[in-house]
Amino acid sequence: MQHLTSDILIDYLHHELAPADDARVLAHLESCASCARELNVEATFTDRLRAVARAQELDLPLGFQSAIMARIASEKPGVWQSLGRLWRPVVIVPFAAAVAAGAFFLAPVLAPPSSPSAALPVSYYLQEHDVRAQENPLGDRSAVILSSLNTENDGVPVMQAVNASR
Amino acid sequence: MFSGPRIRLTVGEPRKPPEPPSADQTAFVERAIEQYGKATYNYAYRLVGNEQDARDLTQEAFIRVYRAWRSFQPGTSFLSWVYRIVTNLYRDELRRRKGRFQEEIPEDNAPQEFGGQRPLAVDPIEEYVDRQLSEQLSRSLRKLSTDQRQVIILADIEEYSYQEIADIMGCSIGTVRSRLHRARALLRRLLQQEYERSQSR
Repeated sequence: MQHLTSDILIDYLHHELAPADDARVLAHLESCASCARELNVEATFTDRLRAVARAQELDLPLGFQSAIMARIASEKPGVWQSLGRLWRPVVIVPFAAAVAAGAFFLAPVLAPPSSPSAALPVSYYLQEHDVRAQENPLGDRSAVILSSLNTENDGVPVMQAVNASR
Repeated sequence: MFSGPRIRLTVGEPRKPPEPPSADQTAFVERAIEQYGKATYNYAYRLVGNEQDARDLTQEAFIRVYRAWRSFQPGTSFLSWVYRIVTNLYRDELRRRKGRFQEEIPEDNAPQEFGGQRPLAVDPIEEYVDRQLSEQLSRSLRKLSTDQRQVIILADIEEYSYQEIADIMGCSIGTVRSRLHRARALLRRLLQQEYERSQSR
């Protein structure tokens, strides 16, 4: 019969074997007094370790917590730490909304006109457009075309009128 | 059915976080110290072996808790989180002091292990009286390397699972398993040497 190694017994003791292996070890221990004895030695060793640890357990030193809290209170947050604290939705969303609203309302007041003509009245453009439209020989409202449309030329009145105007 | 001794799965403090993190960072730390300060201090003490260093280490750990309180995930083990902080701080401090916390036996120079053979089936520590045992065991524990001592503290004294220990120590489960096997074998051998020494006096 092949005995269990210490490594397997230690893993068994710590419940760290796979279920199938655990079952096999258990079955072996039921029939092998030598391995059962060895398991008992390993378990006793652990119990002693734990007992010693318990016996040596220390209470927190006096003033332990207050010393930490005093040190925390004396810590001044750094610049990035302070900025990091601001980076929260509850702070950043209203801030962004205020900046957007300010930009919307103040931009026309603060920004200079993009060109001097921005101040000209609309009627200026309409009159200017009419003048230029009349000067354009190919435009809808060209004086040349309007006069040529009255002539009797089948099919190509515009072109003839243009040629005639040259 | 065989009803041999096995390690209990649930003892000691419940492994749950303090109340869910409130908006008050300071209150969070205060509650954490009240609930887990003692356990953390004792863990640090077992790790470093003296009260002054354990106190400093634990204080520093709770300062880190204060600074990083938002990174704690509610629903996970708070104690594991603090132990991980203590572990990392201790490693940093060891590097800074270059191992001057206490004298340790490096793993490479550790006594040879059993080469597949079992340690003695008759355990000499059973013959010790409690006080004597406590001293011998503490002394032997301090002769282990940091990693070996830590894995024994976490697995055998604190009763963490291999997975939890792997998380705390920042290594794989396989590493935890092999470290624990080696550490226990070495510790039993060291204890046996202590026992034989005391018998020859």
